[in-house]
Amino acid sequence: MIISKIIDNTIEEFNNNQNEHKINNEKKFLIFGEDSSLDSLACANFLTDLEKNVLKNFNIDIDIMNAIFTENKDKIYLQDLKIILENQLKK
Amino acid sequence: MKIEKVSLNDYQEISEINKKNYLDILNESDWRDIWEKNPYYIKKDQDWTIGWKITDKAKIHGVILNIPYIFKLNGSEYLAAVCSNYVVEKKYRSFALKLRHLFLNQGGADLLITNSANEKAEKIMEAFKAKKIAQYDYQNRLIFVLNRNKIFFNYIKQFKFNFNLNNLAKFFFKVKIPTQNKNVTFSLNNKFDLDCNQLEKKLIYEKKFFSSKNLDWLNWKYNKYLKKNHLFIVKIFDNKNLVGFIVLIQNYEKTYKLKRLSITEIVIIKEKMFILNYVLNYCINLGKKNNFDVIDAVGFQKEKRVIFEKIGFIKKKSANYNFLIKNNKKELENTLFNNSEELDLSLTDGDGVLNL
Repeated sequence: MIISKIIDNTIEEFNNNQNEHKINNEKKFLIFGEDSSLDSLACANFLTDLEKNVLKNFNIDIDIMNAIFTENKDKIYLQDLKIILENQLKK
Repeated sequence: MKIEKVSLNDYQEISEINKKNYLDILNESDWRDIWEKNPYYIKKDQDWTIGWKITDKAKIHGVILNIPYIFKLNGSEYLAAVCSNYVVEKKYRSFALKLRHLFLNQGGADLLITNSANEKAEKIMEAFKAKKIAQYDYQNRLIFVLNRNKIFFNYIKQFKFNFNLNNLAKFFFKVKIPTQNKNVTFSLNNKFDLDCNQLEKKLIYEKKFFSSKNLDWLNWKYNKYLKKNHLFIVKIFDNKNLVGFIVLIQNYEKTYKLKRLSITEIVIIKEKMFILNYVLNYCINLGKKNNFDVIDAVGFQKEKRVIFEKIGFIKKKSANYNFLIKNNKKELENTLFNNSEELDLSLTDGDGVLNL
């Protein structure tokens, strides 16, 4: 399964499993940073789900939370997440 | 918006954020002492970051504090960073994860600890690869009721115990407490002495994992209680030889308006553990004599907790006593996460003890 499909599926699962937060599957959706609609717990939950789905599909244990915050960016959009994930899988 | 290192001069602003978020803070002198009297910080001084803050337009909007501790196992020392005072204003909540990341990824520390995490903080710590310790029954606070009428009234007002039949029996009927053993004696003190250092050496022989119990560390950890004389130190002697001590903090439970004695330290050499029966009896009498409503304890290894329960302590589940560690030392992995019955951590092994 390709990475973008895993992200799509994780977004769908996240949106279906709770009602408080909604992730719009758009490149410019803000995952982390000022004005993000996700609070810290929602962001952590989504990224943890994503790690689990990567493990399930690629059998690779990645650390996406630490990878994102090591980037030292003020804002992380969905499109950035895909690149970070691809870089993690290349390692 | 910037993230910067906290300075000791930030007290006033941090105090204001805490007040806005209904969090307690120590007075300025006690707060500064967390670092200025910390045995590790004194030695290393500028090498240690005391915390990180979110600043915007020259004002602080979020903070996480970072306290050094030393843990010991088999004669080796491990540097731990304990997280404290984690608070972020609503508008800056999206940066809360950044603060947590900085704390958990600081260089130099062997262990990154939080022992007063609520369920939300627990999930976030786990997302950053911290893990809950495997200690037996850590989340159940142990409580001995001294003032039954007041507690019964509070129960009706929602001070909820895990009221199974066993606990009900302990609540309504007197539990048989062991009488004094002739060879065992106690002395009540209000300060620590050098003999703590001798006991600590014995703990090292027992291959236990523990936060340093030497005189300098105990004086630092209990600094604010020592200054206010809110501490009981019960030294335990067997045939006149010092075999252990227990520390009890006098504090006030604001929500339920209870005068509380909290057992925060139980140091007894392993072969004399049976003495805990007698020393708990002594503590109960001490609480009664000084008109406390309850005695409580958080944590401690299974062997100790079984004795507490036999004496009549009741379990109360708490959502705010999650003990999580990000471990950077492979050799500690089994001790921390696969050693449910032997691990012997308590509130005193993190910032929990600073906030009673």
